[in-house]
Amino acid sequence: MTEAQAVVFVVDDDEGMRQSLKNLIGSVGLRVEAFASAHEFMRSKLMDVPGCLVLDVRLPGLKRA
Amino acid sequence: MTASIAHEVNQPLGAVVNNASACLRWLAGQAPNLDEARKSARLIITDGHRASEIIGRIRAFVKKAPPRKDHLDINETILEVIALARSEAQQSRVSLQTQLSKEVPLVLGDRIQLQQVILNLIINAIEAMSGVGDGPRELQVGSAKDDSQGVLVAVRDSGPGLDPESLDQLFTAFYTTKPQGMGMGLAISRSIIEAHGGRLWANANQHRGATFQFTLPADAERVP
Repeated sequence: MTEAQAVVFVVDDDEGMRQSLKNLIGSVGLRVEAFASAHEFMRSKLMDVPGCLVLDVRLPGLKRA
Repeated sequence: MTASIAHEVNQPLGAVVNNASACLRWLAGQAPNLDEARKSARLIITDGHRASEIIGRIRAFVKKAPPRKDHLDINETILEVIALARSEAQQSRVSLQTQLSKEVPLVLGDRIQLQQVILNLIINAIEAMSGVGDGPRELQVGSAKDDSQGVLVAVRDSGPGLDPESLDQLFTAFYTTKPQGMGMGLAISRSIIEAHGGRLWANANQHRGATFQFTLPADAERVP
């Protein structure tokens, strides 16, 4: 099963919010990778595993293409 | 401005809820993870402090004391705000006109605070008109000498107007008709005008739209 490797990606510029989401998702046993900006997320080497993305809707920086 | 304040306050509150939920989960089960639970509780404290700091900043903004007292030409004060609001008006396809009387006396007041009030009224008007489909989008900012030799500033729009029953509530803190609003703008504006010895009120226009106007007493030392 690949479930154990599944990653939840969190992108939020607010440090408190980012940390709390990481804590909450981590507390149910999921792996979490958190990023402060869309840029940081795009630059990161994403592992080839099942995942989902939790994205802040009001992020500064990168606009939609 | 109010939308961003609401967002700022919501962030730490959301973080409190997340961290508290996580804390309960770390404590649940056969082998509670006390380290993580403790860490969560500490994060809640940090978030709580952050929320109260933000509220403290809003309070300091509302009760910014003591206001500066400058001798002001209200027309200049208005024109500086219009320069700021012009692009916002253009983006919303609102035609922005001024009708400034040369007869107005100088007033004594805090330029920045009064500009915040005028800007708030202008932005409210633009937002109100952006909500209407067709019809003219006209915004007129005027100044005049009022009955008691002071200054009268009026911001008149051609938006959907005001519900007569809500006229009293408009200036109450946390009352808002905007989906993203926090209901602070007019409440703060009224407290600023009253601190300057003036009055701020609203009327529905006869045909369409609303007019918000305020008075300020003339600068007693400079009355000709």
